[in-house]
Amino acid sequence: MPTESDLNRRDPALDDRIAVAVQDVSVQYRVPHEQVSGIKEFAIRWAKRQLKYEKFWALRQISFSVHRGEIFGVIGRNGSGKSTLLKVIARVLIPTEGRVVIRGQVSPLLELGAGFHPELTGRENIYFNSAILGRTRQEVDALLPEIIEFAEIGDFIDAPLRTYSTGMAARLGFAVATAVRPEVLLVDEVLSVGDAAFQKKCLDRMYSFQDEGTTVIIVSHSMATIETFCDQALWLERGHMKALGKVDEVVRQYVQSAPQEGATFALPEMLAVAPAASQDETPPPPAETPPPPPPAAVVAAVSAQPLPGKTPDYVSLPRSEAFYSASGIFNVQHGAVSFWLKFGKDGPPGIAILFHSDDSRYVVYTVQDASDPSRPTRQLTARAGGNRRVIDTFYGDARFPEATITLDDAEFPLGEWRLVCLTWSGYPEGQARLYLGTRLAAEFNYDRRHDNHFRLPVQIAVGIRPSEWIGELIQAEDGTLIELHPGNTHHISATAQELADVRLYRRILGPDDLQALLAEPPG
Amino acid sequence: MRSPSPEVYDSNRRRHPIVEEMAALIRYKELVRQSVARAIKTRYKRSALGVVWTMLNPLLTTLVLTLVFSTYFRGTIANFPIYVLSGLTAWNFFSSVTHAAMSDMLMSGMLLGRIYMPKSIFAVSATGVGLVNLAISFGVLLVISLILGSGLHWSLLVTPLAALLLAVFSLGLGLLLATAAVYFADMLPVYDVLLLIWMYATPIIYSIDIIPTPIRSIFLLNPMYYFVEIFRAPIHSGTVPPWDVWAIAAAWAAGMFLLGAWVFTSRSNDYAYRI
Repeated sequence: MPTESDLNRRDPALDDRIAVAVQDVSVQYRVPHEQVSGIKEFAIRWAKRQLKYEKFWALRQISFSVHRGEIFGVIGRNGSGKSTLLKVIARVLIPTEGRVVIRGQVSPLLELGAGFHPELTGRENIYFNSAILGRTRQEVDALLPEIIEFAEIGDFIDAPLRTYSTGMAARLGFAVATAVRPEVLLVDEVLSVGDAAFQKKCLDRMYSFQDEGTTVIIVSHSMATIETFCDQALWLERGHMKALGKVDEVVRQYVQSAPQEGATFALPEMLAVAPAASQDETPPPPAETPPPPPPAAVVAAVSAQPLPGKTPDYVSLPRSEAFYSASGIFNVQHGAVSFWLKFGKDGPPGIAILFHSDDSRYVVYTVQDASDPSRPTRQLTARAGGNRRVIDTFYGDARFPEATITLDDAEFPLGEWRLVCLTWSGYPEGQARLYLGTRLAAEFNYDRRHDNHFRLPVQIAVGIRPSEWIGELIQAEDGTLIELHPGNTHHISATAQELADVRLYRRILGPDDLQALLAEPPG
Repeated sequence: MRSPSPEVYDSNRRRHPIVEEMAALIRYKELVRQSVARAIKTRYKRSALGVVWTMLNPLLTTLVLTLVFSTYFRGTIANFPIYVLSGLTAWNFFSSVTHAAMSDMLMSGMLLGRIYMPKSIFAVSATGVGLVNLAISFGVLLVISLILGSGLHWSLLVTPLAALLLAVFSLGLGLLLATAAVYFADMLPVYDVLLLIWMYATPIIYSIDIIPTPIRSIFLLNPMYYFVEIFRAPIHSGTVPPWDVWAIAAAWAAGMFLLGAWVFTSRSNDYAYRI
């Protein structure tokens, strides 16, 4: 990344290595002192010379440049100017001061399917949405088969959009927006759409665009998203540049500055235990404003469960849907977690986190198998990556070290208990094994590249997570806050699953141990 | 793959707003086409009666007005139903285009705030939709005038020119109103009231001849008088209005279009901040 003085020397409009150049950009909004919305009011105030505007700088002196093929992250709290910056790059806002130079076609992935009309068919909507993106009819004719295939719409393509599920509409929106590789892709918190399998497809497409030279600019509240994808990052605060540079460094500074009020609203929500009835296929669009902070008393009550009873061999984690303090019971070098799992007969299998060491070094979760929605098959996934993120199935990408097994009705009948066990050996390199009963269902390696080398997690989450997962908390053993994100991209559907007899071992389990466990199924 | 020379956008190097907007409209002509097609399709998609709905309102209005006023205006206006219906057809085009230019722009605020597109697209496609509906209404109008025995005349050949002038005028006013609507939230309801008054101030259900001479010159200040006249005369009386009526209509159309285009484009950078 060139320094500012480099920028001044070289005209970015002439340098074809730079895809996006933002030079001393400021954006000023004029906010009326009082809301003058009507003609009558305007006339009265104008006559009285009472029209006063408050000038408000949404962005002040922003300078950076992004090279071709780079993935650039923009972080900051609500109201820090992130969205305004995206609008400036999307050419929607002309900056009040400064200059923006963009090389090539910009495709905003802001609001998927923003121009969809419910009465028109999928096909007609493809043509309309493509026209919004500036494509010609001939181009769309050629792209049509590929868009339909990618969106997995099938015969629905000639049905009105109002008959589509939210997921189908989102898939169609993504397929249209990315049908042609843009030079610059703008992503604003929209990647958590659709099911796990589709999210993987979206990711693969984004990566292949990047390989071909597309520049991606991502705005997100989720540090996990930013760290996963970005090379460089910009931290905005109240419209000013707070930090710019390598993503690790910027995120570290941002996280360390996490204000106390951030913690108060995120914590109680994530420990809420009542499963909500919502079974939405996709999460609601991310809200611009955070939920109101709860009363302080609630915050005080939030803490990990006290250490459960120990036996020489294992720790039993009695209640699901809770955090447990991990100190003394969690071993990153070699250990195992075992539990009994049952899928209920009614209700669709949702996404559920079954076990989660808080920095996500070790995670087990279930999702519905998306490949065939008509058949209620489920997938069980185990991950050993230390990448600190798990809840977004969005990250269910093969780039992360994880193994997935399909649970069909023959192997895992509805309404029956099955023993599941994840073992791990070695750190930061080693093996993870996933057992179903005594059968070794999957084996994969711990991948140190995804490890953040934090000290051991101090908390472990067990159980089927509440239907709305809001935020994530990671604390070091001495109590310092490592990471807290009030993420709104984390979403778990209500689930029809049960857990029983969760045990955490400080050693690896073998087939004999599993045989012994199988002897005492939950009553 | 590197494309040979990608288009470079530079926020500092922009052309005159009107030139910029024209170039963008040409580049986004497919969006104009799609917007028009979408509005037409969604209007007729789920209705079995389809086209009838376009004409039902003016037809019913004509029926009522004929029943109520035919005795009153007897002698002054020959073939009163055709007189009213042709005038209403022109008026409905004008009112729907100007209204839609405003409301479409306001309703698309979310889209405008997120993705770049020429902002005049809403007024332009509203005019396109109006023209399609006008063509349909005009066909129905011809059928009715055949049934009612007023016949078809060679003078009808000038109707496309009349429609064109009216469309240019409506587009210009639509752009002007859309600009105002961005700044004033109550512009839309205010305009609806104005439209109603304006309609009765325009000789549509009555003839300009019944206006007393002293105040007739005030009525002649109304541009819609000329547009209704050049649209109505060929079909109603089979005559082509004199050249000075055409000249005044053309002047109004050109003037309103230039004013609308100038005001709209000079403010268009401001819209994303406001909507």
